[in-house]
Amino acid sequence: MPTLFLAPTSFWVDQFVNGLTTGSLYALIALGYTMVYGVLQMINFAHGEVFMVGSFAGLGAMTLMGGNDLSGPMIALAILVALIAAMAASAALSATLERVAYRPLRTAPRLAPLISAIGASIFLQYFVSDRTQGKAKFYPDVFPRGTVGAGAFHIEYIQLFLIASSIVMMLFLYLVIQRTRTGRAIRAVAENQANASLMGVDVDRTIVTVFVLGAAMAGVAGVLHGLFFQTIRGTMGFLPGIKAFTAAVLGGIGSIPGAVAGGYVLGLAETVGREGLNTIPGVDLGNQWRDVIAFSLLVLVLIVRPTGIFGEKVARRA
Amino acid sequence: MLVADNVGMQFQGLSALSEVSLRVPAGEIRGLIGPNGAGKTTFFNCVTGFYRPTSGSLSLDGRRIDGLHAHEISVLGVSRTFQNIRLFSNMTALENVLVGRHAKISVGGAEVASDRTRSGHRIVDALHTLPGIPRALGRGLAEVAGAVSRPPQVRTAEREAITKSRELLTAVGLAGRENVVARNLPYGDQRRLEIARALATEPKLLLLDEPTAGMNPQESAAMVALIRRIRDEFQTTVILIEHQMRVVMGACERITVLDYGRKISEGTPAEIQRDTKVIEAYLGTRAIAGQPHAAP
Amino acid sequence: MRETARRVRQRRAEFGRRVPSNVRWLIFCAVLLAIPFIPFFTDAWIQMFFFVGLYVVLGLGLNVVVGFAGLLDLGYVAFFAAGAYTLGILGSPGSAIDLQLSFWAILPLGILVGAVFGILLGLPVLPLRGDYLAIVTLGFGEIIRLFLVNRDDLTNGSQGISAIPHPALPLIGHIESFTEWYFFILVLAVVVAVVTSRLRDARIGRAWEAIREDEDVAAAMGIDTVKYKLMAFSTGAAIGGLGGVIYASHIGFINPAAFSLQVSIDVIALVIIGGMGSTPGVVVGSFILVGIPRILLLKETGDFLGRFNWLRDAINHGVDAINSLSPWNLGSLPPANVWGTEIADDTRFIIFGALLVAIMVLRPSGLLPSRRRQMEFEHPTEAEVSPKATLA
Repeated sequence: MPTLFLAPTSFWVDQFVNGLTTGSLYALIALGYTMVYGVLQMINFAHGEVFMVGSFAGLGAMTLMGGNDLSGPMIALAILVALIAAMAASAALSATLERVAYRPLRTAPRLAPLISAIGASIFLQYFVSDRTQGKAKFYPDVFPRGTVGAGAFHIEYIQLFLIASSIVMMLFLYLVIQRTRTGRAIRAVAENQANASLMGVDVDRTIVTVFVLGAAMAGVAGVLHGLFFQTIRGTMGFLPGIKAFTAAVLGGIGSIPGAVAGGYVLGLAETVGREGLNTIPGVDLGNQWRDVIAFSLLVLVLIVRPTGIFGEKVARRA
Repeated sequence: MLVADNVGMQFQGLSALSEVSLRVPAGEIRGLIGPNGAGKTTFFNCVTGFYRPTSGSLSLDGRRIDGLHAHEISVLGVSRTFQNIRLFSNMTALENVLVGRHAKISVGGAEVASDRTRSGHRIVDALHTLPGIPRALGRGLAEVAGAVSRPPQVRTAEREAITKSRELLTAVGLAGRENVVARNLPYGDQRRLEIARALATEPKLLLLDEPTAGMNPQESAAMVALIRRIRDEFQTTVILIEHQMRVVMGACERITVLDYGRKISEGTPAEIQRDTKVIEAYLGTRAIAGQPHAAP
Repeated sequence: MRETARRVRQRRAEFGRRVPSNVRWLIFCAVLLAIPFIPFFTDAWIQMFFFVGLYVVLGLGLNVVVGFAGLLDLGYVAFFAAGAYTLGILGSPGSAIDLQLSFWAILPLGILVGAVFGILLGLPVLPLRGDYLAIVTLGFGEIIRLFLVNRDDLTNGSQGISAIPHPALPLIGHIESFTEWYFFILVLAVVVAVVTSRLRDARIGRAWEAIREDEDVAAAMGIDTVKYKLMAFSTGAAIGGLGGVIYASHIGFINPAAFSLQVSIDVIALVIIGGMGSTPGVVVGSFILVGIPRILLLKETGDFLGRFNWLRDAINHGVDAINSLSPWNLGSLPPANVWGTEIADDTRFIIFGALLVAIMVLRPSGLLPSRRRQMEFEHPTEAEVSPKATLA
């Protein structure tokens, strides 16, 4: 009998919690992809870099507020400031991207904005890498350590914080989309741009709003990522970006609940799923296989069920 | 030639076609009319393989075609034009028609439609294509090799294709415009180019989707003459979607009428004109006969 | 912008009428042939030209996939790696499959392996639309690299494979010197260019173009779009494999680090910026994106740039002044002679990225596009533009 089957329940619970943790991050980033796709039918290739920039902005804020010297209630304040800074930076970047790299190409053949996005992504990755001499930067290790829980179940404070913050952001987004005029405008533009414009919706501004909202989610994810994983670098957005996109497709691209669901499914598949596969004798999947799993999921979903779990938008042609 | 048996096409919650049955004998010019949204283009899409009917069957000369890929149906002898003119706009007129000749240019074995129909399940269909893969690979390799080395057969085949394409362009009245980029052709010429391209596949059955849309009476009359000539000279069966009643009544030998996805009438032009169901479908009591354009 | 473009086109057309294109190509080829004999071009330069030529070959291959068939493949490095490792594994002593075949025996195998990979990678992506296709191919490229690193038994993992055989020609013997390699790649590039242009002008090229313009209509005309897309993938991949074999043989040593995403970016960038669908565009793109960074790394360039140290001193004086007056520290410019290497190493991709965006916004068809792609970008058809933008 494979040894992992005999692993204590706490091992699986840990994996489950880990899955929720990374899943939260994926969900936050995936929201940006799905919303932009909903209004523009375009994959915002550079969204991973929006996440990365948010992370760096958060680091900058925390460093300014004391970095590793922070203690007590200042930590909470610093984190709050970091989150705000990250949201602002990410939003600014995303809005700039929209204005410079995407808007001029709205009527161009579909390949053009995609290539432009790829160019922007490359530019940002290497620009930030260059500014940091290619070295990683570190978030201050000031988040209170410790776990809560009973019996087999326990979760670290930071994980709890991460998951809770993510849920708060997602709820916020939900309220904006469902309960505000802006949200209505977004839904209208996602349905049909031309008609929405005829109804008096300022399409350009709505699209910018979509980019900004998605960026805010990604910026928060950036700070949370930094607090949890500590290490950040210029190229950190690439892989999470692709995985978050996978999550968005999994859940049904264009669907907001889908992005959330997809994010958690992917997070759990990477952790619980991978360990689950490892219980099969002879299978020993290291960390790098997480990426392979994510990609394989993407290909599988696109082939077998392109509409994803919730969506009706299609990845295939007619 | 074409037999539609209880064809249904269901989209999520919308029945575009229900229980449509018709038979078009070889050599006939059949009209397919009905108010907007009646399902006429949807029917064309089913026949040509763009859609797979959700129920019923379609047969060409006794052979089931529903469920085949679009290109297979094309090779079997069905060709079409489109409501909104879908030319290859950045290619010249000659190049457009040459694309139509694709299946007729031999590069080492002509294209042949397989003997199976699709079951609709992607995995099953994929498995069914496996045995054909080695042959397809071989033909692909042969085509690449032929393109690069340009042996005499290939060059001859290309020359013949160009000659035949030129003949078709002349037949539709576009001689001398062969090097004009399709996008730059005037509207009427674009429609005729689309027909030339469709004819290049040497179809047994030609589906024309509103070929006279946007044309004035003289142009429409010329189009009708062209359609008749196509049937006579190329022995092609024609099905015609049209809104201009003069064209329909003048060109078609029989007419099928659709409304809300169902067949409501079928018969000769005279019979259709008298059929109250048809008149009602086109906005109540407006008489059809004598009007140059029917009420949409 | 459009006016100048039109006038440039006019003048180019006039020049073209005075000098027929065949003659132009001959002049160009003559210049290329003369390069190794010009004393200024040391071995380092000739190797630079070799790499430009190698990337021209790769670019021509990717051109088939992206330029002709319109499929945006971001994982092209996978085929490059396939060819390189085929040569390494089958030709190098002490490798996993210790066959030690000769270069010429392996070359067709490398091309074949590339083609097979092209089909394997092409199959799952066939029904996917442009953006999704791009991301999935990107993923495949990465997976291939992971595979190369992890399958030590076959690929020797990160240590790589060395002692890779060189080609031998009947009269000349082994191809060893840079000049010999240069001529070798020159001949190869010309062959590949002829092959791809013949493909473009044949039935298969028309089928690809029809698929690119309007896939559904192409199918309605009897074109088996699955088959032709796979043929595009595998042809492009075969050429990529060819490039990989040449690369591995030239360097003599390969390891997974050489087959990263950066190669894919290099090739796609040069195809797009140079001009999609056109051979001259690929050549120009390769010169700019591969040649110039390498030129910047050359000693001669460093020496040349060293003459600008006065400029650097001047700028640094100004920057020092700002530094002392303001709270910021802008650092200082390094010596002028290392400007080249600085740009080539670090900021190359920053410039690439910015160039890609700029090209898409300002001149999306690239610098020297084929006439047809230029038309497409200036007048996109409704089928290509986002569907949601039109009235319901």
